[in-house]
Amino acid sequence: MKTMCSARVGRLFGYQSKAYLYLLPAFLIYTVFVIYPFLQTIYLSLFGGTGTQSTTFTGLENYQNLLSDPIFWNAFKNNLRWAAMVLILPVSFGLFLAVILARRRLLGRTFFRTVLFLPQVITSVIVAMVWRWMYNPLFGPVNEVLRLIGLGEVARGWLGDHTWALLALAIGYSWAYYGFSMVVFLAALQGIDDTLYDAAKVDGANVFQEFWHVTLPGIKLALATVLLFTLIESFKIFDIVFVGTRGGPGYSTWVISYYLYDYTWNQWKVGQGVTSAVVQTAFVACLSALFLWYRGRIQKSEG
Amino acid sequence: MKARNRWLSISLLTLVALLLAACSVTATPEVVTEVVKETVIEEVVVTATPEPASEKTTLEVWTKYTPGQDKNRYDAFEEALVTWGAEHPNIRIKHVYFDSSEFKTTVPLSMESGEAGCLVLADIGGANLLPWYNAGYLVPWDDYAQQYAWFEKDTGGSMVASNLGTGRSSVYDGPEIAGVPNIYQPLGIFYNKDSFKEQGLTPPANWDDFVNILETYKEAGTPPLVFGNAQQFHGLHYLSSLIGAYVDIDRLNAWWDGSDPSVKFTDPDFLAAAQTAQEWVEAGYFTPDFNAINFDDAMGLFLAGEQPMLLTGDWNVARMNENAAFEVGYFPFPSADPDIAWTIVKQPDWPFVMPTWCEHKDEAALFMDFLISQEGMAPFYEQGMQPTFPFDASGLKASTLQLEVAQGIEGKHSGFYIDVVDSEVHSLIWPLNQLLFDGSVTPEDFAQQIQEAREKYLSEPGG
Repeated sequence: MKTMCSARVGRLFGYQSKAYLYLLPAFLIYTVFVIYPFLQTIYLSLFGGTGTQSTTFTGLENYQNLLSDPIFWNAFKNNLRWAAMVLILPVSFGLFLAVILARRRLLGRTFFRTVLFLPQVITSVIVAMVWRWMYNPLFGPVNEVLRLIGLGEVARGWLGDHTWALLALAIGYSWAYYGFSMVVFLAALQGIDDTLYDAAKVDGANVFQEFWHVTLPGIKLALATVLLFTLIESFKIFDIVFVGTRGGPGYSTWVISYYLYDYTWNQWKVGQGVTSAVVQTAFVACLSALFLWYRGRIQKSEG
Repeated sequence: MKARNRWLSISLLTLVALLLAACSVTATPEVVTEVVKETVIEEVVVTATPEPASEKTTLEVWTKYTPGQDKNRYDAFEEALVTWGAEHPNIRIKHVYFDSSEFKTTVPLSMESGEAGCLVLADIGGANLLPWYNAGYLVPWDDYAQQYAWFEKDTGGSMVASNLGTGRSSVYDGPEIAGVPNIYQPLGIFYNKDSFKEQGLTPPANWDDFVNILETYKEAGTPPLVFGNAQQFHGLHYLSSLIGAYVDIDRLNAWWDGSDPSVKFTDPDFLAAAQTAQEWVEAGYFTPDFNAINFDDAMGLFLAGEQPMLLTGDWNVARMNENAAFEVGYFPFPSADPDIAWTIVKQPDWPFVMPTWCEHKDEAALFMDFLISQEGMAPFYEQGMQPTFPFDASGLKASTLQLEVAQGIEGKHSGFYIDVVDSEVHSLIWPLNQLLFDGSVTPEDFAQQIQEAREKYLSEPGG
């Protein structure tokens, strides 16, 4: 009897079951804090009225309203613009710095690595406040410098200008975010075999050819990872917009997260607010899947 | 090895069980508050006022009077509480305060979950009062208003002005009073007296005088009006004042309470206000780049004497008295049409509401009555504010500027902060006013959008 029981327990706690058991706590936490709220969000998106206790079931009406709302599409377009800007600015700047810092002969390399990474650890609210001050039309250093170098005509209230406000915010964000890509690229660059550079030199390659034919292929995976993370982050952007411009001037810097905030907390239309969150999540999930598939292909091709 | 695995498994199961147990506990949702200051009053002999409570009762009063951003109101309220405590030792007031942004997040959630205090300040119209009123969270004050004769006392009509946003009628004949205000928040032009003297100017007696002042400064190379609209509210102050200047009070009331659908925001008088806003920008009367300047920075320009006039409310009187390097004066925003009654924005400040779940309604009403009494309003007056109910200011401290404000608003009709008319207009006009002022939308398009939002709200149930 005792042997049978031990065998059952043994099966129950066998290798496979034990693995699931180890995963269980994490899965439970994930369920409580991610899956349940997400399902609740989808559920809420099917209800209308005002407030969080809206009980009028409206089916897909919130989705219809959302997709026919020009303010949502404006926010969506702004988000795409934002994504394009932050995929280019901090990633390319981070890559540029990583390539320089990867040079072994660079004096004070560790110092520069640390200092250049510092903006990354500043909270985004502070970043927004700092850049709001930088762009201030009354005393901000950006306009002061422009006037100093004879470009006074270019000086303006950057965050109050429809054409420039989103880009101005993106520059502030890039200043804080490039550190992440720089560190990832630095790690990837260390994995490139030095003999490849030696061979390129023997073949007479210049710096740009070296970068294009040796460095870039060597960090392809890291680049895909950084782009994926940046893309996801770009659709979650909120704090820098909220603190920097409150979506203004007008709707110029409204992004989807700001739309979600405004509809939920200012207009108290919780149903429509959370619907935008569901659509945003679905969109980011599709993009991420596409990216992961592409990343998988790179991995496969590299064997 | 097996024994170790078993131990490991048991430990894991225990952890999971603990986690589940922790999750299953039905915790009462706790209201997140900022630092709470309790005013505990020593036992004092009961005065002549009848006490509804024979046992000691604690009332929670939720305000936006923070000791930081809203120090003047906070100090006034705390001082009033001391007086109250001396007279009503059985009713202790627990003052819970939030900053105004929490009135968009924490406080509405607490209202929905029935956790808010017995008296709560509510932003008027579409921001707090209207949705809370429509959701049935609020006890109408009418019975208490009768009991304490508030209607007779409120000769300035502040209760009705506060509650027009709830869609009630604008007469006293049977309205439901959802909120009771204790102070006004009048807007007007604060000006640099030294600068006016230098330019040989005096406060305007009419619209033409005002335009003349604007032109004088413009010609001297100084944009006369300080403007910081990055947070979007300062534009609403200018716009609301311009609407008061152009629109007759009866028409404004009719549009406000929806009682006359023929009055539209697209009508020539409303439109003239929006057109003037743009004309003043083109004329160079405002601080350049105003949509990128915060109000505090704009006020800094005024206090530093760089620009001579600032449109703001009397809640900044104390700040101006403390920080201006010159003597500050006040005049009410002039009326643009000599044939209409002089209307300025002097809507009452946020009124107090009583949620339905308040367990001590009679005590809360007694405290409300105290707040709008001579004793309750005196500390607010001494902090530079204008009480809503008739009030004897003799013998109380007041700055010259405050007296100028009191004199300036006297006898003027009470216009509105245009954004709080309803939730649809509220959400639209904040970003849209930036577009109006920077010329991205025409006044006609602006007016059309506002009117459509108003009609949308009025066509909805409860609108």
